[in-house]
Amino acid sequence: MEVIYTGLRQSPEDIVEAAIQEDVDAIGLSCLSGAHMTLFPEVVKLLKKRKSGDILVAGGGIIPEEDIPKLKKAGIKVVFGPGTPLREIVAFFETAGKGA
Amino acid sequence: MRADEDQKALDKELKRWEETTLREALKSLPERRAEFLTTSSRPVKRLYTPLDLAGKTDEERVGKPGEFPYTRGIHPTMYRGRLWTMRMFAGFGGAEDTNRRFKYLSSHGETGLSVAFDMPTLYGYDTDAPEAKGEFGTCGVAVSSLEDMKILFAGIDLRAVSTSMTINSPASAIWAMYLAAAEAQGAPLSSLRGTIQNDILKEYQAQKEWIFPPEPSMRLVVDTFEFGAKEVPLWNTISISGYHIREAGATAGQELAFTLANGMEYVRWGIDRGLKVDDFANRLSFFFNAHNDLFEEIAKYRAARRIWAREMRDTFGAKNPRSWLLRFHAQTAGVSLTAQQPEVNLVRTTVQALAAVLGGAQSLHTNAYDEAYQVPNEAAARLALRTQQILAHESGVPNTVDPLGGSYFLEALTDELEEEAYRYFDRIQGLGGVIPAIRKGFFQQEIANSAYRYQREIEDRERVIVGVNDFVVDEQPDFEVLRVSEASLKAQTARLSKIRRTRDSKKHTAALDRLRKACESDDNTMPFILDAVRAKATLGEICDVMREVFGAYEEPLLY
Amino acid sequence: MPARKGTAARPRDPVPGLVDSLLKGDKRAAGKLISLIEDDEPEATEALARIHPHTGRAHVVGFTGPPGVGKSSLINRLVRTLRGRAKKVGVVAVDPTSPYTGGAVLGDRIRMADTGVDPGVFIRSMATRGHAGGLALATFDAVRVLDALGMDLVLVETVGAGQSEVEIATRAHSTVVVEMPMTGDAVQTMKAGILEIGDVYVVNKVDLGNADVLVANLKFQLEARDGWTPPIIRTAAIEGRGIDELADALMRHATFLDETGLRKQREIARARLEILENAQRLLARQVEAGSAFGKDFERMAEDVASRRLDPNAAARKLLPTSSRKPL
Repeated sequence: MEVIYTGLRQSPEDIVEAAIQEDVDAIGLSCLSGAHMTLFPEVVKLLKKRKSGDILVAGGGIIPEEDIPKLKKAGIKVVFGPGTPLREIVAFFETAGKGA
Repeated sequence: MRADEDQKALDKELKRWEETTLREALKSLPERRAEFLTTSSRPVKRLYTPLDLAGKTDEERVGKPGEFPYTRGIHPTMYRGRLWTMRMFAGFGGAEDTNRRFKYLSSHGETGLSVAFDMPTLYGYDTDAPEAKGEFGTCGVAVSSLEDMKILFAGIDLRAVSTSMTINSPASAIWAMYLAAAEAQGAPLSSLRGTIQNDILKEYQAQKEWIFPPEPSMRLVVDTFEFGAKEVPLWNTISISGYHIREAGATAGQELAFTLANGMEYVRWGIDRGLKVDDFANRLSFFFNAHNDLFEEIAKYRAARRIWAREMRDTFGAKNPRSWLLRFHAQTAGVSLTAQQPEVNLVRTTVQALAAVLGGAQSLHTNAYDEAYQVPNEAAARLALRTQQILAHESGVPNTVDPLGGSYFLEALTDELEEEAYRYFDRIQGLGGVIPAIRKGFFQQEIANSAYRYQREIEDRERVIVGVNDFVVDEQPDFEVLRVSEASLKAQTARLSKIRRTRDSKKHTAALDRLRKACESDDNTMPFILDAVRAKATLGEICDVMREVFGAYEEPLLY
Repeated sequence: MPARKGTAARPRDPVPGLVDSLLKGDKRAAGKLISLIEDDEPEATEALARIHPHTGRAHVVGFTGPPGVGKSSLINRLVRTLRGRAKKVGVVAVDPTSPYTGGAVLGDRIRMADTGVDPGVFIRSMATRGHAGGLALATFDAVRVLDALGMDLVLVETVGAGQSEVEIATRAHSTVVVEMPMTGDAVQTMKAGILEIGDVYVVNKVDLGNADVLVANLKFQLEARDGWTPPIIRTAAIEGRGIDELADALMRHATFLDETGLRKQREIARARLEILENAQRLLARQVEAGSAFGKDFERMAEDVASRRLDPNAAARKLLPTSSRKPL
């Protein structure tokens, strides 16, 4: 597996652009500041706009349980809340590339 | 001769115990595991005895409270004279929201204010900047202008409170706003008490909320030292913070070592500016984490005081004993809070807070149990404050000075941590000092390695975390989710655009031009920042000028 | 943290459509086509055949130099400068693959992040994991995609180790060798062969150590080749110093290649290499495709080991009949 690390403080535009140029299977977003309800759906929206809605988007961070269904509805494939074991996250990305 | 004989006798006596009583006991009941480790994976022995303290006299090592080397505390009477300051870190939404929270906490017995800012503010952007999208007020309060700062402290007499502000890269601009807000209340600068965190080095190492490269950032820090010493003498112009280093995954030893190495770096920069060490050293304060391992944490604080006193006196030649004192704020470990069974966090926090009190903290924040999820709701914040009040008024712990002083285990652990710190100081020096070590990614790598090891220990169940990998229940946590209101965002954005529309634009442009020139020169930037704030320049505008002159920091990459 | 699998995963789009979109400037198509090449998919051959007539416009610049010398930061700054001169710029950054997991964390994107959203910029990271046709082949096929996408310049960053340095010089129009001054008592040494491959030399991080010594050293040792004396540019990439001079030098070199006809010569030299590499790859494929390959191969390995057969004869047996003449 190859992971393209884009660094901290990326805007949704930065992330989508990198995903397209690198032709990735999945995007993993991390947000601890509480801005996930704005930023995660924005990434999905921009991907669709660029005809790249097939790229999976996963999100993680300080995310209250009650936000998870809303994020999923907005197109976030999976949300890893606080306390998710590392293994679970790795397992998701391992299957993500296999045409999931 | 006499000590030698005593030593031999003790050694003999210990051997006897091991071969008789202990051996018998182990036969019938073996120990639960082969090795016992602290939270920082430091091995702990079965038993500590006077033999572990050999080689140094008690006076050298520990001394008396209020005297060099201050192992037992910086004040001779400690909490018998005055309790620690109960200072709850608070901030969310707009200035109005947080102002209400301050008043709520004060009405329930809080004794100092502590401001948490939102992400855009921490990065030097205004609420209406594109970079701020979605971030308004989520993890702290948004302060973009002097107007916001005035509202944040409306109805709070700034001569009477001490205020701590967790702000780093844009610290001088936020401080200037606070000073100008106090001016507007009629409070003289010389009467103001409080702290700006202003610790940029740990941002590069751990917290990652930098804007500019290290050198201009350090210059801005020293500008505040110099300005503060002259104009705001009761203000702590820096809070040298191990907290974030620990939160990023460092061990207790790394937290101790890196924080003090950073502290000494600030002192060097101050001296290089031409300041006399005794003119600014007494305004340097510290901020440590209070993590799970009770004794290791207490030992960390005691070692920190001893190292700092020695380095300030002997390495930097400070003459004033006040310059030798390591005064610190503590906060319980946010990173230890669990999303699972969040109410259990109350218990964790209590043990952590106890460590801070037994370790002689001057001020303390206790995390609320819902903070694995969010900025705390009102009820959770009050419970957290109550935890401190119980320690202060019911536990009996503050009744005597340094109740654990002389414990074989604690004193041995204190020595061990001290030695670990000096080993790190040597390595940092070997890399050319703190800033070159940052550029080489040294601290970042050390911290990442520790964080990874800790997480692996939990996932491999070598380390039990209650509710996470043992004693698990299948239930959804239940607490009130705190939301930032759309109305606050609208009010804040409207306020900003009104400021931009109605301010004297000539005065505003001129002030920013003067600031730019000051940044380009060697002048102290503080007076120019203060003038820009008075001319209604916003935080983003001030930081933009600095971004233009200083450029942006680029992080070294680690794998 | 986008993740990319090394193996075929999602259904592939039909090649003709992808190439059409590429030629219209569609970045998504460019990204997908490079993946086909990177993964050595059968469709890559068709794609490259369709792309080839539309290439040859871009000026290809290779960057090489030891790890940590600041190539990524330098390229990031150079991209910005070139954008300021209205040039469209593609970047192919070759990152080392982790020796532990076989996976890779490609981090060069970080240092180039602030140019990534510019519509006139396309950045692609590639890991150095095993490609059937060798690293250079995949990299420069990716360069071709960016050329066809309409980039005026394509910058290629190599890992700066082993063969890749020499390889890059044989394929790029201009080769930039990046060095930095040593700090402390370390003695400045340059890798053998490095003095022969550069068209432009950059001494980066001039604020560290003794840059003058390095520059003087280079000046003393560098000689003109084909009428071009490689310039030595001092830069401090993080602060953005010297980048304009580097851009100027590259433009001068491009003009020089055009005026002297050397560009054509370099293209032909590269074509020779690429034909041979493709031939090798095709042969390898044909051999692998033989149904009895596995069994034959094992049997022959035993025969060679017990001296019943020599390796060259064994190889000839594996080849298609028409290629079985002794070489």
